Amino acid sequence: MKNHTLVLSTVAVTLHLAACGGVIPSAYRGQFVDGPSGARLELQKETGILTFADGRQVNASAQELTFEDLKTLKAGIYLDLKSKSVPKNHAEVYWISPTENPRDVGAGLVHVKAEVAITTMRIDAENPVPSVTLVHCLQGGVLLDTAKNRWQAGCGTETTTYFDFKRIESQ
Amino acid sequence: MSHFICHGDTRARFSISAISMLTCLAFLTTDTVAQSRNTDMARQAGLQDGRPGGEREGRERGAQEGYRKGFDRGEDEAYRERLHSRRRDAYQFGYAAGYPIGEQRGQNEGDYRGRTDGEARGQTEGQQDGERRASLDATNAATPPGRQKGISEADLSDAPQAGRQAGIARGDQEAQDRAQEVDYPQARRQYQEERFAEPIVHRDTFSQTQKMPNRAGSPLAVQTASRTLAMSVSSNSARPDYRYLTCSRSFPTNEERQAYTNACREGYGSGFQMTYADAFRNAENQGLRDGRDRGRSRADKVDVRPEYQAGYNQGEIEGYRRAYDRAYEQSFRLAYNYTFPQASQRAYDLAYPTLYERAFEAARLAAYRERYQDLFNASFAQAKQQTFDEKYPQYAANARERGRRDEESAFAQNPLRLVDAQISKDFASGLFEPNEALRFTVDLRNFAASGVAANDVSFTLEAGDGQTATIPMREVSARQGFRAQSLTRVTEVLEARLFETAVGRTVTLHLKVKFQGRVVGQKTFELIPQFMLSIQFAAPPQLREGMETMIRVKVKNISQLATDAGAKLQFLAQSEALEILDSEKPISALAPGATTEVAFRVVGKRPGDWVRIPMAFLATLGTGRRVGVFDITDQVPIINDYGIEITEGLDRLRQPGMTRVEYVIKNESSRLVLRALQLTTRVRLAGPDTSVVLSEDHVIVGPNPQYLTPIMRDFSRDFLVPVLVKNPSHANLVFEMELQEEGKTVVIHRRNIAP
Repeated sequence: MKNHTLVLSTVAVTLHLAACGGVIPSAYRGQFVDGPSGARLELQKETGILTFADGRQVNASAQELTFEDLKTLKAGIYLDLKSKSVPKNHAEVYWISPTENPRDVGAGLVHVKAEVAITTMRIDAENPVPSVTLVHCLQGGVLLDTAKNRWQAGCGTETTTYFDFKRIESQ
Repeated sequence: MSHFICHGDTRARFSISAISMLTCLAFLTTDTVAQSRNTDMARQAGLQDGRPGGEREGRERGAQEGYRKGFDRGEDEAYRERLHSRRRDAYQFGYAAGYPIGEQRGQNEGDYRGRTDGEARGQTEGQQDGERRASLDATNAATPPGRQKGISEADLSDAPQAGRQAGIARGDQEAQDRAQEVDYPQARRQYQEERFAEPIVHRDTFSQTQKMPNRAGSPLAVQTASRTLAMSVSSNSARPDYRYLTCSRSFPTNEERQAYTNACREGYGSGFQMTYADAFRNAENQGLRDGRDRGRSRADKVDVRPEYQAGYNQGEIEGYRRAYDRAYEQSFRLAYNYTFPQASQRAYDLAYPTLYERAFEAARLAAYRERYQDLFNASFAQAKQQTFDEKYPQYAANARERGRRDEESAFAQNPLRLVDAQISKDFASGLFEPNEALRFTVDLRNFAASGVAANDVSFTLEAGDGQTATIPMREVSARQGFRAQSLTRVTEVLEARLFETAVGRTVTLHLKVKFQGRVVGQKTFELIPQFMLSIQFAAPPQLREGMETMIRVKVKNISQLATDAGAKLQFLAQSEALEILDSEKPISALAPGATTEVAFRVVGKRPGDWVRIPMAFLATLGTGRRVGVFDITDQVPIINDYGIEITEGLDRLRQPGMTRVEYVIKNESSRLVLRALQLTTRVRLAGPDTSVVLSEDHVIVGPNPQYLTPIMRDFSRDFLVPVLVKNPSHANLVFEMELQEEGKTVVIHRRNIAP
């Protein structure tokens, strides 16, 4: 019953996203700005642009995350709709830009250094969300467990920044 | 995606996009324009040849299909209407036939049952009524004469004489008792007072120990219907089946032949549609009429006897019910009303005599007793008072004389009397402290004209509960004698030390003075032992696995003395769940009434929610004297923002090679906002200081720390840490995982790796 419910919720989420006409939930599309740092975030149906205060931009297209896709370690925005680490109406969102080639460290573990940004999104949100919080780091990393198709993507302490983006325009 | 069909010589189909479609149309245009004139002629010929066949099929099929549809619909509607009507009528006829039958049966049975029940009820309730009336009447009638008889009998009894005799005896006894209880002790006290009023010739003081006491003592103190889609044929939806299609002309080119053939089919279809609808409609109306006749005929053949029987049954039931209830009620009431009074009267007549006799006897007996008691009491009181007044004076005089004589004899026999006893203490803290030596000061007076020898006098000390105090010597003789007509203060008499376990409880100590083995005086002391320092948790203790936290206690000086500069507080706990980093803290000089807070650094050593830990806090002065104890076994919560559980692989760290150690991290109570997490793994050599020595035979493979995905509150995430074991020979190892949130350690989980 539990698995059945999980399947139904996943199907519902997929249908919801399909109905929205894109990967980024419609409630999150638009332009946001983090006042203290001056960083800007623009989210569209299938793309995202993160512009830092110094003018540097990170531009990526979004896609639903699968472990097979993640293994290619291609830069992009990945939405994990099946994560058990967040409520069922949330998706974990990984914004990954590898900075080095992947390294197989042994025991089925693959490690790659990357610029990482992580947030969560409510996939059942109907109205435009007022803000988006984001954890970002230049020197983060992604760990892939190829034996069990699991992953971790995170940040250390030194280059980690917490952004609190506020909506400035609705799309 | 749109699909475009393109026809040319090859008669091929192309599914193309918009640009390809334009290319296809250009290709076709050249061929079509050149042959258009010939194909137009072929098309006209086809339309003309096809139409007659279509008209024929339309007429024939329209007539057939229209009639069938009308017939079916008419038959169905008429059948249902007619059948419904017949069944309704049958039910009503049946109901009308059954109702009177049921009514008659109900009348008979209701009448019978009502009569039977009414008689039974009337009999029962009538009997109860008769007996109740008989009891009431009998009681009213019998009571007056019964009481009168009782009173008369009592008047003739011996109550006055018996009361007088009893009064005399009681008066005499009370006079004796009063003399003994009042006058006798009064006389003894009076004699004592006279003796104590005698002048004291000698005033002496001596100590039971070698030294003289100079310390003051002080006495005590706390979970929809769907409609079936009609399958009937509609005149609008009919399509020709081309049964009469004949397209027999021939043409020289393929294009003309194709145009002719298509147009012939088109003409056929057009002819079909022109005739089909009218033929259908006309035939449908005729079919409807015929079908209705057929439907009614079929309905008339249906057996409606079941409906008749159902109506009959229902009518019978309702007729029965209505008649039964009415008849029952009438018959019941008639029978009841007839039976009740007869039963009541019979019961009354039968019970009355017996009840009268009982009531009479009860009234007589009660009146006799009341009257007897009144007569008895009157005589008793008078005789008692008279006797008391006559005899008390003499009894009192005798008691006073005896009392004086006895007290005089007691003084002669026990000339030594206890005047007072007090406690003297070691410390002027204003408290009775555990382990503090308590000694007693006793004032004794010797009324004899001669001295009392030291060995005739002894002192005893006992604790009311053996678990409250230690008394090294329970009895001791006086060290000195007592001179004639002397008042002597004896100090340092015996010693008691209160147990720490008795703190806060009342301790009773009994001090007795004996003269020649007889107790001549005693005093009971009730004490509540207290430490100088009251110790309690300043905040409920909490632990964090692998993390340093503080356990805080509040220390208050409740005595009248300040603690000294060397005073300190020690924290002891016997539990593997807790590591105390600093077990001793100074308190320093704490003034009377002052409070201070002392914090001890501790580290939780075990995962989980709660752990039961016996803890003790001991306060001592610089001299080593213990002045405070807080001993408690408490359920201590283990509160970490995150919890780590190692689920697999730990046991394989004793084998050489690569091992995947699986773990699960749960966000127990951290904030809802996502925060970066870093997990550092170590394998240490277990020893006296596990925080220093890392195992060189165990290598953490891959990045260490691992950067983990932020985890939302109440959710968890599982992953692994690969460990390469180079040499599994070490006996004692500790596997340690330290999780940091934004660089701040939130939990350190350690597991011993068994040899």
